[in-house]
Amino acid sequence: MTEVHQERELIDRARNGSVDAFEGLMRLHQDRLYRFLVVRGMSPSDAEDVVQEAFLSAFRYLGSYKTRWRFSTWLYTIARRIASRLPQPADPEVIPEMPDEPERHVAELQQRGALWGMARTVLSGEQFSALWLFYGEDFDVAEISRVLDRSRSWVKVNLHRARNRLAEALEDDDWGRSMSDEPIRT
Amino acid sequence: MNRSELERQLRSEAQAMDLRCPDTPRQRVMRTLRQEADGTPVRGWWSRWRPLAATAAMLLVVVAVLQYGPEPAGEAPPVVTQAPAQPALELPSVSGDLIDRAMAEREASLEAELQRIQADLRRIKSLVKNV
Repeated sequence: MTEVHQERELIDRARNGSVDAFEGLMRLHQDRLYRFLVVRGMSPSDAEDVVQEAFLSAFRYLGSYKTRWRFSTWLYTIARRIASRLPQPADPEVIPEMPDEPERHVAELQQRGALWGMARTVLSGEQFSALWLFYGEDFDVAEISRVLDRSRSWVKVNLHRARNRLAEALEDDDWGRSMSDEPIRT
Repeated sequence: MNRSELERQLRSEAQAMDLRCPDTPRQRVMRTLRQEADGTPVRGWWSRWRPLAATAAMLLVVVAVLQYGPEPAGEAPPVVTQAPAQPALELPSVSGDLIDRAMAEREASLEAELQRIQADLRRIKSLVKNV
């Protein structure tokens, strides 16, 4: 059974009230959602809270989920709205503190890629999110537009700007040289 | 680095960032959902009933103090065994003439008021016609 079919079956069962099926859904999506929140700059403890709240909301409003969207699109939309209610870090370069589990936090930070680390410092929060959803989560423009609550044009334009900004930063960093302006996959 | 290289690098680095979500959120979510499904209060029965129990306890204390509390210091008031005799309440007699006269006066004043209102109405009507 493919992951899509498995997911659909779990959604159907969870809609009928199966908590076990919903746990299956959570196991499928929790790591990617958590990673999305942490790479955006959220502290691991805040990310855990948002994951928890997002899944609780998802279960309660599962009846309103429309299957024309991927479940992850819907889930990320919920999570982004919950995350937007948290206080945002003033400076994207500031590493969020995690005094209770510093070793794990450092290990996670070391695992982050250098290019994404640079993207976090040179892009706005929403541009970074759009870029991550596009390349990290393989979302298309329509899905990113839904998650970020922006128009498709905004997503296309900002993906383009984000790539250019990143390329400029790489040139400054003596790493990249040039980028072509290929059309964006939609 | 051209665009395709950049895209490839972004994808490969994203895949390399293998962050695992701890079990805590899933465990909390499942515990909450299972408790809700079982009809068990999520916050525990005591937290739900505590305000009511506190109010009831306070009322009991108040009743107990009123009922069995210490008597006020000083000499106890004399026990009254028989209520003192009260003079009978006498209503002043009203004659039928007085009532009739009052009703007639009231009727006359209402009649006068009605005529005044009717006169006002006629005046308003004539004004409206002139307009």
